[in-house]
Amino acid sequence: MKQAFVITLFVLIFTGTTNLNAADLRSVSPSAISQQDSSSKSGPIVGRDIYYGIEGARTGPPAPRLNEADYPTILGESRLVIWIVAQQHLYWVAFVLGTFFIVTLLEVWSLIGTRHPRAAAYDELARECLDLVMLAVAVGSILGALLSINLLALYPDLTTYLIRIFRPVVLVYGVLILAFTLLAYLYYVTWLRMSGGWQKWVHASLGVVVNVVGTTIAFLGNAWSSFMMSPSGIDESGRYLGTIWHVIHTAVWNPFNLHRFTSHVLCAAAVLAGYAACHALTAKRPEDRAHCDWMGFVMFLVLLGGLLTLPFGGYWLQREIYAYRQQMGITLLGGLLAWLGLILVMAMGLIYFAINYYLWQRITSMRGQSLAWATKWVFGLLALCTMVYITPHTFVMTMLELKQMGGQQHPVLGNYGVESAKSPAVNMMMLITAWSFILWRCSCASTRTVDVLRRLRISTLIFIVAGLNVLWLGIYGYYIPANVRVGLSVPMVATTFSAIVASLVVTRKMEAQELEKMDSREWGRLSVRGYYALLSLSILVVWIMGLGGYRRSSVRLFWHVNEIMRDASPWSYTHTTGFAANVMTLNALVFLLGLVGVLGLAKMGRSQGQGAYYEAATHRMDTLK
Amino acid sequence: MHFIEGFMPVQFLLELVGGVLLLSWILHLLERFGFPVGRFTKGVLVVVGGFIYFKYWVYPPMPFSILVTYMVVLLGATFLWASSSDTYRQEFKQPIVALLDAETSTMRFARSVLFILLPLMAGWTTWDMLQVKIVEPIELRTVGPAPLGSFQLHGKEIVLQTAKNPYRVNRNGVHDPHYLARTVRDEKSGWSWKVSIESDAWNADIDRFLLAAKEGGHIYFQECVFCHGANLGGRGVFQFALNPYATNFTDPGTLAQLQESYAFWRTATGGINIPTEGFPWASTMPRMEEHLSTDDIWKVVLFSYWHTGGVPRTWD
Repeated sequence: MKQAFVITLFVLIFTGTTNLNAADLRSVSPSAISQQDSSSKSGPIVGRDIYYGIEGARTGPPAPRLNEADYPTILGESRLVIWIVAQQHLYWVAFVLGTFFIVTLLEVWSLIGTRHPRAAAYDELARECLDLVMLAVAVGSILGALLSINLLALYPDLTTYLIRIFRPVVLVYGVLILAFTLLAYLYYVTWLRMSGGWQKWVHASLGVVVNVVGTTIAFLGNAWSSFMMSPSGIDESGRYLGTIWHVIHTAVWNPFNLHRFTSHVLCAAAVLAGYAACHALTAKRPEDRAHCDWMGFVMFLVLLGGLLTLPFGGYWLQREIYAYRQQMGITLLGGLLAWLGLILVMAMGLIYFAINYYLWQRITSMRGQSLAWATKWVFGLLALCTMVYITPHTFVMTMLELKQMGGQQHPVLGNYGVESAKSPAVNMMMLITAWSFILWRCSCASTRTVDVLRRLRISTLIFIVAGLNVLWLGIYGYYIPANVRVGLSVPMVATTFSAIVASLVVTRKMEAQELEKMDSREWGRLSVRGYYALLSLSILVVWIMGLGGYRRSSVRLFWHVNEIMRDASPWSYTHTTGFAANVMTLNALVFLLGLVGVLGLAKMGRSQGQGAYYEAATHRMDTLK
Repeated sequence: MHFIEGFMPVQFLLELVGGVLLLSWILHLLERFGFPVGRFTKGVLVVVGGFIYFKYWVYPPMPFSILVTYMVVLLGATFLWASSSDTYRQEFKQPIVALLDAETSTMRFARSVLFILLPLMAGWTTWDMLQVKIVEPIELRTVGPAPLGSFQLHGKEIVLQTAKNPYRVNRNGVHDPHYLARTVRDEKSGWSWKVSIESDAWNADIDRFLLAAKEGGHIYFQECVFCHGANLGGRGVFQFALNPYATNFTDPGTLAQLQESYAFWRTATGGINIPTEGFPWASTMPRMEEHLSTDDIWKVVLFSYWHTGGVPRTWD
């Protein structure tokens, strides 16, 4: 068991380095210690938490003060090495954990909807995804061990300090990785054995447990990076104060967790959608193309669901960062990293274009031109929203242009540069995308009956009203104080979600028609452009993940642990935007190339017996009905 | 022209939507009267119309970088629309294919012209690019540079995360970020929020807040008005001598979205003391710490918010 070996190595490294002493983990009363050792020459033994403000017993050494000689230079720029290895580890972990979530979702869905005509196919799809991801579990584990070794070798003082702080977490982390690997393997090998009757429910429950363990691992890993950004549970010198929960539960930990979880699902859905698109493009048999087309569509739906929540999660994260330290907020949104933020929103705009393009390829491949009149509004309004979304607060311009403008802000376009304009723009883009989705649902109806048209009109009206409300809230935000304006994002989000839910309810009865219709004749008819749209979506999502991670990490600037432990290495400057973009692209390419190899190997292993499994799954579903 | 003060951003969007609606209506009428317009021509009309609007209608002129960005978005959206279905795609590419392939006399002539013009245009572009031009470099700078966690002012350390304006207090002497703001309640939604009101600072003898705002106003009109202007709009008499211009405080994207401690820090330390974490920056703001006391800086910041009707950003 390669994974078990890697994990054992990982645990040994950490426990060996930390020189764990059980006595250090004891809970000690601060006041008792203070009385016992008030004459200590090393300063007061009770410290005050820099974030929570409560007192605790100092149980560790202070954060080390480093100089340039404390950083070994083995492979050139150590920061770059860590950046690449950490990003690869995060990519693979995101793919693995996200895929396990999707697999369990599909399995539970196939169990709940056993009467569904495609229940067996969903179960088969879940199994197919599981086949694809199992090899990636090993890759993720190996990269994790490689990251740990690199951290210890290149940043020994920082890593040792963090391990001292996180000692209890390191142990739990190691145990959980071991548990995850064993449970994931158990989940995989028992798929066929536990495929009937109540055993299938037990198997699905096992999937839920795997996901819970995996998500816990991700959250604990997140605690390290969120501690480095917004430390708590320590005093002003960086000494641990005895309460590990305070170290984990920092100011930005929860928004990080939400963001991390969503990005895992998005990454997995994007990768699997891209995989399906590639195979559909190269499929030689119509039934293979139809299967890949359907698989791509299912993953697209997961991607769409995740993507609708991601901007809100991102907004919450930014808000919490800003509230924690205005310096970080300004660096991210208006300062050094704002240009990367601008590239991020440009990529988000491209994602919305790609989603709508894919949906319209689906619609017109099924219904021809009957709904094509709407495309000019969809792409026209998307263009308008994208323009607002990507307009920066400070323009790139010459001084002559600055003088022509008559001030630092353009009087017409300058107002688009702040969050008050971005929030309505992204909400409008979501509404337009949801409208395209509803039109797709309507296009699935076997005939354009009066009922379908009526439902379509009601849905369209809902979206128009919602759009006007979002627009109004956006304009109104300019006339009220900033702290109230931030709160306006809540009614905006509520409006968007309400409109989406209401329109889904209005068009709900078309589901049956849609599924009957879509079964065998329609899949595989998507144009080549549609597959390329899907492929571009997967590449964009992967690239954006790298960009978001870089922004989050580099916002600390020259701190290892913000305001506690300074980065004294020669690489404590922020890279140029161009260099950073090149490294992100390199990371995305390495990951995608790695995926080609790993998924190719997994597919080779799966190529035999696919039909047999599908027949078995169909038979099983028949027995469940 | 043309843009109405206070309505400009919305007007821009409405005009663009209105332009598309007008174009659709005209094309519809033409089709109805037997003069259908091809999809390629429609696409060209949208892109050319957009360019004319962005380049010549919007005033003051938008910087080249924004113009290019908008045109790329518009061009991309037009291509996506034109290829959103197989029928559209066929219609869209038909004139292009005809130009390259058809054997009618008109097309042959058009083809000849195109194949003469294309290399000429390529040659001219290359020649133009090789010309040595003396132009100002473009700048990638930030208006709001990131501050330090704390800084020294007149021998004292000011922690920006927690620093509060000592004059932003209510009549009980308690710090109140929304003091002298009136509560507005929306009956439909049930929400209430506060907006600042204009108060008569000249009769402010008993109110510490208004008294400080009044004193801040005196300081402002002695020290700041020359650059930031009489209505704080960044249009002082020295404006055209500065590069970059002074900040317009009436813009909701400047003072009103910042914490008061940030405005205090920028006023005190000016452009020359912006730290490395604030890079890339450019600022002509002088170091007011050399001219004003700490209290005076707080007062002038208070006045700036009070005069523009803004409330500092808080996280309550």
